[in-house]
Amino acid sequence: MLTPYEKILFAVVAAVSLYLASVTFRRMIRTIMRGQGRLFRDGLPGRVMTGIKALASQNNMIRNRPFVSLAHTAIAWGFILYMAVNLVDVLEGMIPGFAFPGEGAAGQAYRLIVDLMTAAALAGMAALLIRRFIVKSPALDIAPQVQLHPGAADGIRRDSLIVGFFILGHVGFRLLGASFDIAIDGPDPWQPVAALAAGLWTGMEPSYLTFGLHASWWMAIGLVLVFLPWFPYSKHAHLFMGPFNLMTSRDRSSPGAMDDLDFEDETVEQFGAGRITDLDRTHITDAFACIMCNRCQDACPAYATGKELSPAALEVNKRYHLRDHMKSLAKDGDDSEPLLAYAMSESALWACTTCGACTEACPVGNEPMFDILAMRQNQVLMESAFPNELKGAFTGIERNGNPWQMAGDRMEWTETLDFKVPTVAENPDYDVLYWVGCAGAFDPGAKDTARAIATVLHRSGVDFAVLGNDESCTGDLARRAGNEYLYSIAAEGNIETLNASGADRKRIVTGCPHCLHTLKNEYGTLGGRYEVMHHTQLIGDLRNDGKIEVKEEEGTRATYHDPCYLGRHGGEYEAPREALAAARPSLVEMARSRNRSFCCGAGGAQVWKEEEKGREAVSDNRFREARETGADTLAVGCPFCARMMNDANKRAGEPMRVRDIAEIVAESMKA
Amino acid sequence: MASNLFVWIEQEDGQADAVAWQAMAAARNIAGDLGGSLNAVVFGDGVGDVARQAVQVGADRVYVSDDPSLGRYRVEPYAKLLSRILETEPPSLILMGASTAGLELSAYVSALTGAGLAPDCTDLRVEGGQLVAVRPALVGNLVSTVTFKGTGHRFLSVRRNIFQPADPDESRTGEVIEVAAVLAEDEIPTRVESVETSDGAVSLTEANIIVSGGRGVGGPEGFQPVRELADALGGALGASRAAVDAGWIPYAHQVGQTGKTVQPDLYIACGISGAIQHLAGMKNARVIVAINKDADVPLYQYAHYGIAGDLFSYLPAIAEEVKKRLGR
Repeated sequence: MLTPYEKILFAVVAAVSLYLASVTFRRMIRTIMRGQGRLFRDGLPGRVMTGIKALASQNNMIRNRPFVSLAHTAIAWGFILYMAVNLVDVLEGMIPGFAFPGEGAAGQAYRLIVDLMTAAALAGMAALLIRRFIVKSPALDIAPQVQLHPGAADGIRRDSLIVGFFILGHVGFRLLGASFDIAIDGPDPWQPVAALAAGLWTGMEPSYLTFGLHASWWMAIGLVLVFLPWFPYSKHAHLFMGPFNLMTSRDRSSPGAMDDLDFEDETVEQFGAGRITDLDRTHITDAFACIMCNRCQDACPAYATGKELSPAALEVNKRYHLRDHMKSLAKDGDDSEPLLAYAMSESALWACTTCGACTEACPVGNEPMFDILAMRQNQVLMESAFPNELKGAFTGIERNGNPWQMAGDRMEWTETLDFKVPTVAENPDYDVLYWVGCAGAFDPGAKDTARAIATVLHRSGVDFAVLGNDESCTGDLARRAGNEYLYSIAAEGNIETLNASGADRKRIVTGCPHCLHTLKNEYGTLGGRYEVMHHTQLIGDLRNDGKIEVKEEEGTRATYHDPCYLGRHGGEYEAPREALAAARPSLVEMARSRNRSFCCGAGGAQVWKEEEKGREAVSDNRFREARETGADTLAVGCPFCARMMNDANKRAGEPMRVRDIAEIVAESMKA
Repeated sequence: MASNLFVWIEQEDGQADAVAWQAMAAARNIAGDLGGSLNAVVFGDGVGDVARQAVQVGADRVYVSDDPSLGRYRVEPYAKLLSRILETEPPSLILMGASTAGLELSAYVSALTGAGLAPDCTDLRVEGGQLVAVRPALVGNLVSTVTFKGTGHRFLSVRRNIFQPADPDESRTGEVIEVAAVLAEDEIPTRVESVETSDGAVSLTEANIIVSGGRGVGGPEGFQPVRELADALGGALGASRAAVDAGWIPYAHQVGQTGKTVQPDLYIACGISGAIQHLAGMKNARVIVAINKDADVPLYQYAHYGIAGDLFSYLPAIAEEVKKRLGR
């Protein structure tokens, strides 16, 4: 189709474009490789499948914002198809008489699919542009209290506009090209949309039509060649980096399981992330994968309550910082600017509850929570700059083995029970180790839960034991607060105790999802591998085995608040509901439940510090939702959720009863 | 072997810090057993009254250095001066309060003079002519008993609110020895620009008595009787997190895990249920009194005395009685 001059020009333009693209893409990859750790390749076929599946099915997106996701699907599928279409078009242009895949049924099908997908992609793109620029959807805004890179405010809009018109142009001119083809060669029933457009050219001179065909070809293909080198500088690197990120991220034992730091290695000079190059490679990739859709922001409890934190802004800020410094970073240049100067404010850093809603919501597998945790490590381990209130909790873990600095007896909670709770020393041949946790041992409210759990175990004939005063804080809060050193000391001590007690050969049950998460998902790398259950899971087993019977109490409605560390981080949504439903059959769900549950506000060491300034307390927001269900009982499965919801309940004038499922079950157990 | 005792009397604006008199009392308790003289050391600008008070509570001799350069505590001039005084003394025992300044000064001078140091002691006794000091370790989980080796000076600081200060005896007389400052102002590497306190109220962490209000006070105006009792007792006003979160009282008054950790002689909790967050901050108070309508609240487990009743009827009555007895 192309003239010889055009072919030469195309070869030159393509060569320049590919060369420039190789420069900028290499720059992006080198920048990523400035990070720590590695991009993961183990089990590569599975990883590739993960990427392909996400790309092909778009199922990471559809679960949130269905209509927008549909438009995105049209564009994404259109682009996947266009990878082939562009190749075919180039070959058709360069090789006279080349026609893929011929004039037969295959060709008809190809033309029909391309024609329809072209229309769908155009419609999808138009819809997204209208949403951003005409409807001005508030979901795309980032609230003013959140720190934003100076380049980002206008940059996001400009970038979106440019790429929107690139896609409209690229796909649109391909459609026009097809329409000129029809005008020249005669009607084609297999390209209904292009045929419609061909009506525009009725009566046009053949030379004009040929010019139109060539011009369209050049615009469609030329736009790709022009854009290709620019991609790493645009947020639309997302096209490639989204799937790439899904394929190269770390497989974690739970979505919230952190990596250990090596304190034995004396060559390590930096713990945590002070600057962007201290972040993991996978987390630098996050910034390139991010399309700035703000789904994480929608899910973030800190953002929802007016704090300075937005996980989306974090990725955006990283991205714009990288854009400004990519050239020098790729050449091993220094980047002395601390993350806290541009990525987020200190208040934002300490507002995170580590609930994992952001990582759960992200369609491309970004983990903003882990950046925050790495930055907290830098603040605690390198800068010693962290909220003053946390000092007491750290000291308590270090010296008293509990964050409240209580010097008392960890068995005191058992004194009011009418049976004896044996320690491991008293009952070394136990079947189940009950890990009470600091809250269960010391918090007056959580002691009731501990007694309820012990009662359930006792009355169902479980042969159990507790560690008593040998038990010590798991270190969860220290770890989430960035004090990895303290965590490692706490973990090593507990692992020694647990292994000496034979817990590695038995089952552990606990009422605290934070203890559960740490014991089950994080101690493994330090030599502590345990089978750990939440008390509601054990209650489920006991009911299945007929060991306990619970009588249903009608006339009272309960709603259940998913603890983040049991739900999103632990993947357990059903066991607590089943245990609760046994006693309270009329269970009403909150709008935000299961993997979309909204944090109580306690996690990530928040309960050990004052809440960061914002519009409202996270717990008040959540409690309001619980109350709106009309339920009279708010069932929880975590002593910290209980604490937060209890406080919110009192602030609201105690309209509900906040109770742990263990207490509800223990009360309803048939003798 | 007899050993002389020296007590540094910490003061500010001519007012001795209470912990200094407690240190004086601690020294006096053991002076007899050690068989040496009891000396006070007073540095400052215009501290004649403090020197006289030191005599009244037991000092045989008072070393006074009254100089503008000593007006505000600074470690360099104070340490140089103290070590100069001690230079010519036979091996002695030097005591001070374990305040921020006392901990710093005792550490600094003991390092300068190569002397032993036992900080933050809660009990002192003499066994077989040898001084034995008791120090809490690991935030009160352990108690360590220490003694000194060698023959040099020995430094001790005593924890606040442990030792009962002696009543002043105005008829006591003692010798006052004037000592010149060692460093001139331009030889001192630091300068105090200004000293600011957040408000006029008694500091929570230093108060002997704290009266706190919680959710049970019902609102900002509910703190009025709590505040009145605190004032009558000369104590500080505290609050639980619930009351602070509700906006009834500023965060500066918050006692608990995420507020101030306090250790007063007397803690009166009014309308506070005793959430662990609060207990973590006040459980080490010597005497805890809980006033709450509901006698089932967890705080009662930690309280030494409880009043199960309406705080609004009890507090004014107690405040009135306190005023009457203290003659205020």
